[in-house]
Amino acid sequence: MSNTNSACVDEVRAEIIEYVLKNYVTEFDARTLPLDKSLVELGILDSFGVVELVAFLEDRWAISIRDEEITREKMGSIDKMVSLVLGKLNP
Amino acid sequence: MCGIAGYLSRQQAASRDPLFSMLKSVGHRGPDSYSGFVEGGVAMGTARLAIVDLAGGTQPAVSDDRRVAVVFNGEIFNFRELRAGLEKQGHRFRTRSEVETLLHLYLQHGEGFVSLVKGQFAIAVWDGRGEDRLLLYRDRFGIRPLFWHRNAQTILFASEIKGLLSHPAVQPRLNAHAILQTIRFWTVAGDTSAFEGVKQVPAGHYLKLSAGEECLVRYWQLPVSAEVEPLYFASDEDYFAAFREQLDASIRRQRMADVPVGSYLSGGIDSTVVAARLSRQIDGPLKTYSVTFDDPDYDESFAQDLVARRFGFDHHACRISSGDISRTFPQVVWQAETPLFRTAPVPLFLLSRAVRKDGLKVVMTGEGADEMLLGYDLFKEVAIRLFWEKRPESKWRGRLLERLYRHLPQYRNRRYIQILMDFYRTTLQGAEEDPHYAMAVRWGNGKAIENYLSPVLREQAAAYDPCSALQPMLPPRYPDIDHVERAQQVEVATLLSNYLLASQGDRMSMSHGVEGRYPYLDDDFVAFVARLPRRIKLRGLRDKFVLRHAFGEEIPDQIRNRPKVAYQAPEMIAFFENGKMPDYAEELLSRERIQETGLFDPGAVDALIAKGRSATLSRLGMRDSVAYLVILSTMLLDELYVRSKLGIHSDIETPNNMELV
Repeated sequence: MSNTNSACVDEVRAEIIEYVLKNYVTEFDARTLPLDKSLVELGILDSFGVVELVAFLEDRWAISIRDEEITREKMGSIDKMVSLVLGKLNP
Repeated sequence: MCGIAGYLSRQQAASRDPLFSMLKSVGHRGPDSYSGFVEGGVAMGTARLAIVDLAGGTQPAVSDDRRVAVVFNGEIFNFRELRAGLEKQGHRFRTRSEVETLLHLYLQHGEGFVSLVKGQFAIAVWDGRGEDRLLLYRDRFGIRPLFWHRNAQTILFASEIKGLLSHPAVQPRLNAHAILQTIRFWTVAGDTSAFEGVKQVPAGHYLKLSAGEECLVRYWQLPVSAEVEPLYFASDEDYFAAFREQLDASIRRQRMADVPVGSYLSGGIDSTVVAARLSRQIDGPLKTYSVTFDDPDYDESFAQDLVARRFGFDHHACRISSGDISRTFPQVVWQAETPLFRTAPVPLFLLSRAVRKDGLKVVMTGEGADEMLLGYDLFKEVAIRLFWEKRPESKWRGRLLERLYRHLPQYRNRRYIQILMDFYRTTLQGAEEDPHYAMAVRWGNGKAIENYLSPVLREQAAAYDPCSALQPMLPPRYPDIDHVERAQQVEVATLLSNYLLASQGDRMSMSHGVEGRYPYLDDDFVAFVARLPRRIKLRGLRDKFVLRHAFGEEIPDQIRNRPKVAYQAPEMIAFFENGKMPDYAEELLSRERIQETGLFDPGAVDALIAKGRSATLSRLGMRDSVAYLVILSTMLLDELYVRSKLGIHSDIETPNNMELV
């Protein structure tokens, strides 16, 4: 991967983590928040939170997430969300 | 009917002044007159709201030898039959009042007399014939409140915690367990109150207190289906006919009063049916009252007006704005005496004020229909989850949930359906292992809110299971009934008793001396409904089936077919205007105050408030709203009760003297 892409990964990931910690109260912090587990299963997001998160991702990076991408498979962890966003930014 | 209070002192003689002070603290419940009884170590009395036997019903009722006295709050709907029975057994009565009947019932039958009594009540009996004894009774659903406290010298009781706090023996301290229970269940459970050292007599129980004794006795439990004799009719029509008859009889019993009776109208089927049937039984137009909201998301005025026009009600609407909610919230928290997870008590507080201004003292409401006839979405939700769990990969089974929650903002936009289904799919397991499977989603949200607690309280939460307070309230056969029926039992023990009838019901209506009547919770009606088969109440996903169909064309289609819209008022969003909260909230939720009080985590609270200030959506999520309101109302309780010791007072006039009997 080129340097630009690596920087993007870290930035995107950091911003998503910051958003989650700022908007949803949880016992995790920036170091301990699991990146590969579903935030819903961790009890951090409820159904309303899921909607808010999608809205955030679209607004923050001016991307458009298709209906069929709004699934646990594509968004069910921070790592997955990072991939989704990067995929839209660097098609 | 009023407020009651009293105390029993071991060593000292009781006196008038502490009693009067306790009664004045619950004076809003009974603004017509005060009366009391003082004898040896006991003092007890009432702040009276005159509804039955206006001239003769002074309390307490006292035995001829002045060794037994009774005070009570509420209505005894079968007191005339009970009195007739007692007269046959030789008892003589001086008045036509209910309290005198209760006294003679106790003298005749002893402590178990309450099983004969049908009504809504909080009763206190002092029996000084042997060793001094206090017996405290509460009705089957907890319609009327009853709190108590004891220390080495004194036993005290009162209709509201305020009555106890006005006695020098009681020091107000918030109860951590109450906060933890409220976060999990939305309400306290069992005999818990928001204050340490203060307990409530749970619904369907009575308490025996003396120097050496403290014994809680359960005299009634909502029966489980296996315990009742089922009612078999050949057709739906037969069930509908029986239902009409029973509900009409209930309304006739429940409207007992020597004063006019009005009705609350929410726009939903429950209160519409009550108002419609009540209006047939009275002369002249029925006075009805509703709350309307500036915010169209919550307003139901279209439905309310439709009903009022159809039946020719003398209808009054009370318009509520977000500003009304945030302004009145502190007064409402003071009235409720417990942390609140919703703002809905506020409109009801304002509504009872309007009813009082209109000169009415009694209103009928639709409370209880959802519990008795399975109206809540919760019941359908658990039925769908169980159905879906059998084939979790099925998409269309999951889509049934979507039909259920279509009114929620996160479901309005179709694009989220898939991930919301994924969310719900994670809640499917556990039907075998989790005894409270039906409550998993709601209580899961509650558990998440524990992250707002301070480290000290979070440590307590880790070692405390709130279910330990709930367990004793559930029937012994709870493990034998299905999840829908379990959910019904839990709702009755928590949400109905400790929120809908308490914070939203009794505490708000009695704050202006207005008494609520609940035909759906009438003892005989409840016994009848318990015998109806499941499919008459919940047929597939059609809730309150019998209620929606038994009255046919009489009820407008739009009301009959209206899906359940939980009575709600604007929540957290009502406290933020242009990013600012009202002054009291800015102060109580400030970092400094949160830190100092030590109940919540300052960082977490800051983050929640930041979210409220910058909210772009017209509603915030339920989890955030519940967290915000529980935190704000708890901080208000700390301010109003612990720090200032009753800084707010009732806004109605009460007399300034007390008659002694």
